[in-house]
Amino acid sequence: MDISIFDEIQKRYELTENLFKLLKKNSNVRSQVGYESNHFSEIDDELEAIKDLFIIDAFAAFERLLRNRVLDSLGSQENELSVRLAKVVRNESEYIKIEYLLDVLKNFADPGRIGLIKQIKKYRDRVAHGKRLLTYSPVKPVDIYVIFEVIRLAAVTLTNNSIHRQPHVDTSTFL
Amino acid sequence: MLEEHDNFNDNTVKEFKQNIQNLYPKVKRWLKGMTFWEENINIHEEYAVPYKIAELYIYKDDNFLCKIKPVGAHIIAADGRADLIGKKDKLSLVFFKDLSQSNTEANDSNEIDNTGINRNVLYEGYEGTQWYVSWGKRKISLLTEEIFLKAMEEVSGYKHL
Repeated sequence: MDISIFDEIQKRYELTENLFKLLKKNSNVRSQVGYESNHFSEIDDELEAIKDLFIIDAFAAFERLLRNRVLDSLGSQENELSVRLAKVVRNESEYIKIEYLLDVLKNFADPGRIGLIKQIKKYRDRVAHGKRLLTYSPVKPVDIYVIFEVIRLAAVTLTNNSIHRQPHVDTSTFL
Repeated sequence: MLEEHDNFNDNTVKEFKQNIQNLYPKVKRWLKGMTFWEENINIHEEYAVPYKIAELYIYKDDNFLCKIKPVGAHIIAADGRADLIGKKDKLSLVFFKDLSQSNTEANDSNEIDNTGINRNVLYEGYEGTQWYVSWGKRKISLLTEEIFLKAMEEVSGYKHL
């Protein structure tokens, strides 16, 4: 996965936002797509809910990038014991609290940026875990494009500190 | 349950309430010939005791134009948000405080995370501590009389002469 994924997500959101503008402006479009409400505030609310899905999408892409980077940091496996231990670490790496990984990034990027990623994560948790209607939001976004940029900047930190891997050696025979 | 008079709210909330209180007189000064109405609402934020704050309704000749609705003090990459809501559209007003006052937030380990970041990296149009209109796509404008009237026209369709 490379960081162009974040441009793609932003592009998809931009298209959605433009479609909603059209929906708001044009009553013919609303009737053609079977959208019955003519209250602009309701259309705004629909878009707000869709924005949350894009935040989940962008954060998920970032989290995948970060966890892949954890796996890349495992050293080469030169013997069977190392291979087996590495396999355990690989399996468990999905369960490492992302906050621990983000704290490591503070040494490589503006800590303020990483603090913002943690805020976005809190917001993402509330939406993704179905607590949107049950709990008060810990933090609220203003401009989704700012959120995209915060995530993209953190992803750039990861790729700027990536490992240039040696050609892959098949170690499956050890297992 | 804790209530506002427990005086438990953090500085972020106190500053937000103060910034809203400073904003309304300015808006009233800019909008000559309008009628205003304030109504208290409750804001619930996870890291704050629920608190009361006023919404500002703006009318012209008994016709509703728009309202300023405070949204919250704990905002991602900003230090307060209020929405300007009209019949046609909605825009956000955002407050940024001095970055040297370094934004912080408690994390899960009861440590403090710094959430301050150079505003110019994230926003186009940042000029210092103040209220701004957020137009989306990371563009903001310092809230002046001219910009407020432009924003009000956009959300309400009413052109103030």
